[in-house]
Amino acid sequence: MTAADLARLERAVRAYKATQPRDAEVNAAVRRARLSLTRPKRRRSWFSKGLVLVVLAIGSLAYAKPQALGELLERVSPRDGAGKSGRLLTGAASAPAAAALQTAKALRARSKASTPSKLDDGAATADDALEASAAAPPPGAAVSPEASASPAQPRAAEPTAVLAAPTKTEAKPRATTDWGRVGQALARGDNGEALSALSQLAESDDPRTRDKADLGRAQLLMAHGEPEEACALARSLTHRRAGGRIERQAELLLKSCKR
Amino acid sequence: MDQSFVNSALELTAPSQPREDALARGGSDELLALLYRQMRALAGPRQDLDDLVQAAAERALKALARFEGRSSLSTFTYGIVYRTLLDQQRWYRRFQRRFSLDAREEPDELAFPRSSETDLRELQRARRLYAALDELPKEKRATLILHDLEGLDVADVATISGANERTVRSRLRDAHKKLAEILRQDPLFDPEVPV
Repeated sequence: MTAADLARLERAVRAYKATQPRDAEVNAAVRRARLSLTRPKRRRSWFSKGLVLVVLAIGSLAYAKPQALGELLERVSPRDGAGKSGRLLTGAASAPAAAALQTAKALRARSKASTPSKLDDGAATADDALEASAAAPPPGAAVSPEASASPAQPRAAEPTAVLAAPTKTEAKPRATTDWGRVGQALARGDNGEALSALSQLAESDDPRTRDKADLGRAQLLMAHGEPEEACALARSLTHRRAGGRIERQAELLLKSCKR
Repeated sequence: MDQSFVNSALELTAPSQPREDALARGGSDELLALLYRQMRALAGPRQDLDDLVQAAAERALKALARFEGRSSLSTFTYGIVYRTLLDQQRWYRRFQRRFSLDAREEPDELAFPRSSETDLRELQRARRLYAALDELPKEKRATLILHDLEGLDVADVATISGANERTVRSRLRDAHKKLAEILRQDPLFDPEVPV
């Protein structure tokens, strides 16, 4: 910097000092700052933040893994007879856990009904069976009249059925639906029973139920080493133009059949 | 710095005391005045000066409990003011990327205090000076203000800005060079012209 530059800087410093705030200005600013600092600020408490987080966590768990939530509730719920038998609550006594599980399933079913699912019908068939088995009454529990309605009833109606189920825990057990039998048999690993239930469904008046049942039988047979029968069923599904995803699933099965 | 001033300011940060009570006792006025003067020095006279002072005061009240006396309280609060200002400028730059202010909302001139005592020529010069300072990068601008206009030494400026002393010297050198270039263009700062 030259001497002239220094002289300019000196003038700048003088101008800066000349415009420094006076005491009156500072006092007024202090008053304003005090006023704004004493003004209470609304801040959300940590409790409500935590509550929101917990609700979100449970909600997402219920949506993503309803079984896990059911198991958790089962573990948390008090034991039967205040520890006399030491057995976990089942049936009517585990109604809260079942209700939670079924509520989660109902939510999932509702979301499926509102948005077009990308799952194929093969998966849908398995879902039908599983959901029906969930809707089926546990020993000692009853099912609502809606739950025992026809198996071809639309998915959107299922939530009402499964939600209503745990409320009538005192009623006697009734016969399950055919899809419920399939689901229960699959859950037990009883393939014969599952196949016979599917065979009954395959004689249904509703063509779509028939196609679904045949696809289910074909998949079950293929999975258990009976490809000839499975391929015959898949071929019949493609011949009769089952249509849509059922036909595509049948064609997929046929790819693993010998020509 | 008077110890009672620190104590009265510290009362504001005590969790058992409601902040309103502590403020009502008037012990914090010196701290607020100090923060105002420091923010006014660093940011210059501007429309949102009160907001900046308030933000700095909130930070200072929170940080005061951690003040260990390793530097003077003035340096400590200057550090808070410096960081508050830089954070606000960063925020404003991000804000400007998304939104543009209506032309009517832009302040057309700096809000200098109107005083009959202030020489009009000095006022004009101060305006030009702040306009010139605004052309410098923010760290260099703050370094020049703290060192040349506020008279702090390099070590204090380094503490305030959290930078190395060599960095501070380098910033000062660059800022001097740039400011001299700008002031050379301005006849108001011409040393040949009588004051």
